[in-house]
Amino acid sequence: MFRNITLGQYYPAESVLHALDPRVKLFGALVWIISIFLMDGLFSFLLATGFLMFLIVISKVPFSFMVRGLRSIMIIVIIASVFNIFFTPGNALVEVGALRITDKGIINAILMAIRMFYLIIGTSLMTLTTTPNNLTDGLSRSLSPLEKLRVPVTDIAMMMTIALRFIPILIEETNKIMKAQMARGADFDHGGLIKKAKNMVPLLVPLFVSAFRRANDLALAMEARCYSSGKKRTKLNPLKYARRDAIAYIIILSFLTGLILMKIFL
Amino acid sequence: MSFIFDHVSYTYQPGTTYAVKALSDVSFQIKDGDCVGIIGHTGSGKSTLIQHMNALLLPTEGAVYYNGQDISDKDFNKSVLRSEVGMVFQYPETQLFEETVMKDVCFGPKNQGLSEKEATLRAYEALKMVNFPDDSFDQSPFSLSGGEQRRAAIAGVLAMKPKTLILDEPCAGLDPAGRNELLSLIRRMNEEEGITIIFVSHSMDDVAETVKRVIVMDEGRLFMDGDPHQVFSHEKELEEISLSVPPVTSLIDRLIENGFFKGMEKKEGYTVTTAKEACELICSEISR
Ligand SMILES: Nc1ncnc2c1ncn2[C@@H]1O[C@H](COP(=O)(O)OP(=O)(O)OP(=O)(O)O)[C@@H](O)[C@H]1O
Ligand SMILES: [Mg+2]
Repeated sequence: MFRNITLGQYYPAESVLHALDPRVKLFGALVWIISIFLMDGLFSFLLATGFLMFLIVISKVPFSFMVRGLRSIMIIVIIASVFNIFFTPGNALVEVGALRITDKGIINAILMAIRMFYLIIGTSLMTLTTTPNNLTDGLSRSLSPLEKLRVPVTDIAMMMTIALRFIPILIEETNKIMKAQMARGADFDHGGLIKKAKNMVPLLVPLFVSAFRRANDLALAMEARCYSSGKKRTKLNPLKYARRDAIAYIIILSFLTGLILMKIFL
Repeated sequence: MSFIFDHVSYTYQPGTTYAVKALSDVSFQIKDGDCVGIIGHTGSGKSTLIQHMNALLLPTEGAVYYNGQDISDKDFNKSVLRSEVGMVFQYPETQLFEETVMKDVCFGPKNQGLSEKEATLRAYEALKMVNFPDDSFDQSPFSLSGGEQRRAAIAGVLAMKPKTLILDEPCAGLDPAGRNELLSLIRRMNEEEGITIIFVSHSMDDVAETVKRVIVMDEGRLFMDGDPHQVFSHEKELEEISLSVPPVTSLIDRLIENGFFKGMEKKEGYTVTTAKEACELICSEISR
């Protein structure tokens, strides 16, 4: 059931992208998100596509693995595109009652779909090549200046680590409970919407119970090992920049500069 | 003939870097009325194996037949299989969800299409069978102790009146009395009602006391398959795959090595597996 969600999953491999410092990758993801909104002409689109393809190739993550994760996002993209097709003003191509399909609408819908796919592929490249722990590490380091403003960055990072850690556990638990209820004759696949929702009760109740129990156990275990929030913590493996990280920063910045120049001059 | 496993292999998440081959080329048969124990070290594929018997997993290679029908066939009726084959999972108490124990035990029978009344009767019988305390029938399952939850969960499967009962480590975490009760219930169901039993356990004692046939799994392969007396006479081989023999077996074997019980050492491929058999042997030695 949840096998097809690759979003936020780590794919172990040995590549340059995997070896990069998580802060670089976070910065890269941020730049990528900005660049998706900068990209409007054909050339900037080609540049971004080329850059994305380059990243996919050096990441050594099989393309088919990434695409599998896109399937579950498809519905959202389709809904967004449909809205775009029908609700963008412009020259009407087809008109049925109150619904009109316009030329601008179609272009917008296509652009929208491409932007969303690029957004997802780009950001999942980051999560696919970075372990969750590394990611939160990078995030808490990148955000550490905010500590001066009394933002509890380390606590937030800890919460994220725990949340990410629990996702696979909960998926496994869901599978287990689902199987146990199926063995007692529960049916999760058939019936209408309301029936399906009702059939979820035997799955959701045990899942919540076990999630709360786990959370409770974890809190106790952390307290037993003297964890307390708000204390300054040191790291076992502090993050250190290497030469490749500097090169990566240069590449990312030149990509961004290229896009901005195109936006201004083309 | 209820189950035939024909060169079954199973891989979790095939085609990804997370692929794990949990079963490889497993073949055996289970006949109606058998009482089979499955042993093996952790991760040897026991739970994976038994989930095939309920069509919760389908073999990635090979085939599993239930009463002559391939469970992977498109028109194979899984709901009939699941109502005839009851499955008690490892830590079954995690599947409790209803407001009261009674309602929870009714869940299975109701899914079989029984009426409210029939389901309640079945649930009552099942709860009685596992010796669940009468005054807790209408309590919330979440307010029970671990052992009581376990009983309620097992009753939830028994209430479906399965012809085959699969139990995955049902005794883990039970107190000695609870364990003895459960084991004798399993034996009774097999001997008196002819229910086929498949019993997974890490306790060699429990297996030796309960079953008539033992299947040993190692790294997803079928390592041994036979009578407990025969299987447990291979102490060395079992120890090599991180298993052991029941303590009584070990004791009697040491005694035989030291010259006691003349005549026993000639019985190749046979050993004592339960306290009862050991007692008989020792008594006959003393009275000789
Ligand atoms: N859902 C799953 N996804 C991926 N791999 C799995 C999954 N379930 C089990 N495995 C793997 O399959 C192998 C066999 O697991 P299985 O649960 O069948 O072992 P087991 O003999 O029941 O162990 P135990 O005695 O601990 O219950 C193990 O290596 C395990 O890591
Ligand atoms: Mg198991």
